[in-house]
Amino acid sequence: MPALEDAIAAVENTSEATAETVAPAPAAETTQPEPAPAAVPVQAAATLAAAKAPRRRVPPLLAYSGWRLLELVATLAVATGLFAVLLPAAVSPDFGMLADRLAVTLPMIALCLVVAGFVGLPLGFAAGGWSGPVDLVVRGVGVMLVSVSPIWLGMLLILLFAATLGWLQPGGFVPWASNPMGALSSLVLPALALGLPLSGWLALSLRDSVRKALADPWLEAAQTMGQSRGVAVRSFVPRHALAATTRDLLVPLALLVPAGLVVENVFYLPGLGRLLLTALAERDHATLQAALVALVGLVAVCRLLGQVLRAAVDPRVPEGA
Amino acid sequence: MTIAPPPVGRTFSLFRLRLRLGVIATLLILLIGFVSIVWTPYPVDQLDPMAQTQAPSVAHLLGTDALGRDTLSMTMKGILTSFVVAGVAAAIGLFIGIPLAVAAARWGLLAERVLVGGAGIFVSISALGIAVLLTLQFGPSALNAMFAIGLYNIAVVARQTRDDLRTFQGRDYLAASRLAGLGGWELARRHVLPGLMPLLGGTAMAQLAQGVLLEAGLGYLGLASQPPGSSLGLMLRDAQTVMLIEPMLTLVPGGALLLIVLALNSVARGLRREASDAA
Repeated sequence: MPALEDAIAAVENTSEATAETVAPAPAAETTQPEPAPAAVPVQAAATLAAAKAPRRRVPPLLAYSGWRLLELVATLAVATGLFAVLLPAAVSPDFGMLADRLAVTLPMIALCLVVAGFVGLPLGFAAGGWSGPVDLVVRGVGVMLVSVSPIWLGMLLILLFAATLGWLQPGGFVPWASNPMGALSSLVLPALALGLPLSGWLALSLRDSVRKALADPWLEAAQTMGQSRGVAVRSFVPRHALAATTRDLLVPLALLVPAGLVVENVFYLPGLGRLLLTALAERDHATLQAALVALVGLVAVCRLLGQVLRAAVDPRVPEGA
Repeated sequence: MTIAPPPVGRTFSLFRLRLRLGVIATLLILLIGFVSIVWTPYPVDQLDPMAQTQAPSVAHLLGTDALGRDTLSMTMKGILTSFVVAGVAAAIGLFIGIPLAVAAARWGLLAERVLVGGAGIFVSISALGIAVLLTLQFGPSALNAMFAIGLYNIAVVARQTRDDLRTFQGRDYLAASRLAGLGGWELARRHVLPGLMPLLGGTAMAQLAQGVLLEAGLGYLGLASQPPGSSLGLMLRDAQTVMLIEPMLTLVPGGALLLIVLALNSVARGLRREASDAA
């Protein structure tokens, strides 16, 4: 947070004349500390700086991501083993169909994350920042969004945008190869049906986190150091609010893929959900095994995404706090 | 010297109102579900070819579906199915998940790691994956949905409870009572559980709400209740084939689903809010 460091620097400049000697070459001070009496505060400041930023070979975020990736691989291995035991005839999974199906499911999930971000972030920040009618409306809409079944929301979207307005087709999928724009447009409504509930989670959680961050004593501390409230709020609130929110989002993110496989069926999309259900109906164990592994993999990837995002926003997480 | 006494009781606020409204709405919907055990306007397993896809009328308050079944009766039964499946699943999650989390917290870091890792695997397989496996073995039924959602709930509840327990670690009053000679289960019962209760209540209600949505999803896929039985997910599935001609048939089960989950979520959010205010 550069604003905080500016503030600290400003305070040090006014209180200590020696601070100027610290600022240009702190590294030199750490390597060869000289026990001159005038340099005692300098030395103390240098040791403090060294204690603050211990040297590491691996950045904590990278190490954390690595561990989570390892966890993902372990989860996949355990799940694959479990499915091999539970599915009757001993067959090896048939991954042949998977690529085509994931070409539908993956873009849908990605689009849904985009929708959730674009709708949920502004709503959450707006409701957190402005109390009164804005807050009331966002909370009302947010609770409605998290309570609506994505299946039903999908049907309502079809009724509105396909049947009544005629802007988009009610279902089905045009392959990417023949018509990329058509393929994308057939994923818009499913992504909305999935993304709007997620944006509700995002908005509600972010609203609460922004409120909590605005009431934080840190803000007052920054203001007593001479920062304007606006600067303090801008440099502090978004990051702290997002740190708390990314934690709340881990469960909704894990539910995204299963919900997506259900919503695919509402729009007659030939994705992973369809593959799973047809394989189940036809008792095609090889395909079923592959589809289940893909399901577990996708959920695990979504969880990994959430965890790494959280660790990137909140430095306490990779530090193991 | 006078010290102003701390405010007794809570001032009236919107979230208390929401919590109360949520509880009342939940109980009313639950009542509708229970009424369907002894009485529905029409039997749900009786097809009436003469009354296919009727608009709402005095005889059929919410109309009839493509097979001539009364929509109101189907919805009442569906509400019951939702509550029973989600309720049993939530109970499974709570009765196994909470003790697991408490045990892991007492046994130390390794147990916690195992708990978090195991929960991660179950969350990744998800209720859908478990339901598919159960359906493959035993055929589709509401019982499968219960166990699938219940197993998934165990993972979520255990994880959530462990996080909630962590917020109690390092509290000064716990250290103080430990110094006073209290330890183990007595400490947990006297000082952790009372603060934990509202949080657990919030978790339970949230799992119930999520369970209703998951049951609808599994029912929609045909992995839960089967036709003579009624569920809101099945109704949505049936309605979809005639959706563009008869939009009314999708509005009723979807709207009922929305009301149930809205009521449960209001209670869950209210309880969590209460807990965070008390802390």
